[in-house]
Amino acid sequence: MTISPAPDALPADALPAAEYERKLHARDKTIEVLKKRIQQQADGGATSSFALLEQNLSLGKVIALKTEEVEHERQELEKALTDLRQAQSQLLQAQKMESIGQLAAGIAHEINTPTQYVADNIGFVDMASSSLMTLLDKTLKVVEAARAGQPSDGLVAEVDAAVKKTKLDYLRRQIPEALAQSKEGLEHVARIVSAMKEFSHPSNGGKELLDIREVINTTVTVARSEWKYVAELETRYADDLPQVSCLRDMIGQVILNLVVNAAHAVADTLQSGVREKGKIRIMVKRAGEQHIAISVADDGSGIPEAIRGRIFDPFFTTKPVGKGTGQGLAIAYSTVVDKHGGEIRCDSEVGRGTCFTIRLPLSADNGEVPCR
Amino acid sequence: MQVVFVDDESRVLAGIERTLAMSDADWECRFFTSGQEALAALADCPADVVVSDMRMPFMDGAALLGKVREQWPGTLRIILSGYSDIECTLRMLDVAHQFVSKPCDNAVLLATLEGALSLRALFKDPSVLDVLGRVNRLPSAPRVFAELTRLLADPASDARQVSRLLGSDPALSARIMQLANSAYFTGGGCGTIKSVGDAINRLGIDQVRLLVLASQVFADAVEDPFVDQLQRSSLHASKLAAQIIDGRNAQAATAALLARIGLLVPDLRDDAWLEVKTGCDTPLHAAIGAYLLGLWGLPMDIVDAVARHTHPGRAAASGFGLAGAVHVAVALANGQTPDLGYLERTGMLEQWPHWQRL
Ligand SMILES: Nc1ncnc2c1ncn2[C@@H]1O[C@H](COP(=O)(O)OP(=O)(O)OP(=O)(O)O)[C@@H](O)[C@H]1O
Ligand SMILES: [Mg+2]
Repeated sequence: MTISPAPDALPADALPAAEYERKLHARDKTIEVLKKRIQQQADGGATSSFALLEQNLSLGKVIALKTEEVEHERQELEKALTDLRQAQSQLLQAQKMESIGQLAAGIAHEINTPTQYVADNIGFVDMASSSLMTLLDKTLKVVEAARAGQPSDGLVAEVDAAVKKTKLDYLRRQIPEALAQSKEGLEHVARIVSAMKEFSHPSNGGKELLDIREVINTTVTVARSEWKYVAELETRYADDLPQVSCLRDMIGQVILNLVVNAAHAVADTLQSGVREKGKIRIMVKRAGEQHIAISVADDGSGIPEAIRGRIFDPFFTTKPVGKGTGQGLAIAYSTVVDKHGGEIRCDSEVGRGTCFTIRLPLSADNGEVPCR
Repeated sequence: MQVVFVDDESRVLAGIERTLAMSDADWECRFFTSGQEALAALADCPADVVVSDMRMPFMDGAALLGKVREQWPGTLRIILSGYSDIECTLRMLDVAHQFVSKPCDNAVLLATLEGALSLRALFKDPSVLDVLGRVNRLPSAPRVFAELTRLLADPASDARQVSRLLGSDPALSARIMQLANSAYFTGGGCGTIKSVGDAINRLGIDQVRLLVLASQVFADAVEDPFVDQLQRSSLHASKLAAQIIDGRNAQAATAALLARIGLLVPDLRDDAWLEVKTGCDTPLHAAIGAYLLGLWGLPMDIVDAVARHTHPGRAAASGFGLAGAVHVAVALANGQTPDLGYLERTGMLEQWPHWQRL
């Protein structure tokens, strides 16, 4: 089934902002009307009498007072509006920082693991090379002796002993492997660090034309430690994907929120010996001429019908303190719908899993944020 | 010696295997990429030590070591891991004897294993190891613990007050020394930590609050006159030791405080254990105290002083030192006479009348 959130399920900040705009507009109108009336009365004053003048004067006073009052109110409203905008962007930034903070622990683990074996391997190669050097020195002595025409059985015996001690076969096998694995480890670290850099780099608040696959791959890499212990994650991209105009960091954040939710939902269903890992699948394809569709599907617990209407509400969560604050989907909603003029929907079945689908317009002129 | 390593990243295992191949250690090592495989292999042939990663899919390190504790309590349990969140950290605190942080210098890992394994020679009878393998924490005096809880909850309290209070209880001090001597909890700060005061400085008050309070069960809070009495006499001994020794006062205070910690092992209060022989002629409770502290990674000179606190003279002519000070302090605090022959041999006999007046 499809859920589109009821109006009151919109993120809390969306409503008041619109409300303030409307009020401001109304005030402007009042001022306009009052000004017009004074003007009219001043113009149409052919029969200029004292009474009329007095009336005009007092009316002018009232209007001046009213105007001042209204102007004051207007300023306050405007300030409230700016504050609200700022709070909203801070909230987004805060959630981003928070998720980076949470990710940092996982990323530290992801980096520490290769560091451990690269260091072990370097230690190994170090010791191996010094025993090989010893062997080489002894061998060279035999060569020298032979060249000088004085071959020595004693020196040869020394070489034999050193060969025995050096576990030559073992080293022959292990040195290349140790080096190859170390190289893989370093590549792994480099990949994570660059994904992290890309993920956390702010996009200056402007949209750019992007290959959405890159955004997704970066996010998946950064979030690896969130899902790898509970699920296999698969990405499937259609071949004909056009570039999309979007806010890179915010779309990355949305994908992250959906992937983390999926991992949590899968983790809840794991059971010893029965089901030890679940599945998360991210798919991207074209949706008509003007849109692309990104879906994040899991085979986790599913969302009970009773709460499906509230999942996009800010601070709605079913998770214990420390695991969720209920902001993930609210932010996904405001990013996709308000900032990009897209849609987000949720299909779910309890016991089978959940699929979130995002439709993003390809062109930049949808949504409130302009193109850079 | 049988050692089992478990890590879900096979390259980590390969790295450890290579390290061991180049070292002198002649242990029989087995390597597994999951807890289930390791358990199956242990069922065929138990091990002396299990070293496990913490974060692994499905059965994590704490779960694995929990099972190992149930089935083979005498096996040493070591966590080798990178960062884990606080919930995981508390779970592993409950089941592991030592924590090695990843990445670690492979010399550190080898030394940790060697140190822990060498302690087993303290006992002739391996059944003691099983009893001790189940012990992960010892009871603290409820009075002290309650006061500590209050103090840590108050943001105005400072490290000095916390340090004084923690340093008055043997069980809590042992715990804090265990944590501070593990690079895992100190972000790689190096050098052994030799006293409770240093331990608290190294860990920082926030970690102390988190780890000590959270890992202590509240069931401890029942009044126990035995524990209470032991805490008082240990504190007394601790203060005496700091006065008796020349230099290294803080370390002597900590060692004397911990000297009789073996008596806190609940099973040991059963008389049957008093018959059990140790590998040397140290009394059982002293050997057990030393074994536990060594297992938890406390510095070897403290472990040694605890092992020798009743019979300081057995180990060669190493002089008076830490072990001597702890011996005299514990005897005094418990109304006993120290080994005067030993004092004479170490040239300390003339101090005895002076110490008696402390
Ligand atoms: N893939 C999913 N499977 C099952 N339930 C889900 C899924 N995604 C979201 N939910 C439900 O929707 C609720 C709200 O999700 P949302 O991401 O907004 O907050 P959260 O995950 O609880 O916390 P946060 O994302 O702020 O850490 C969740 O608590 C959960 O009950
Ligand atoms: Mg979420």
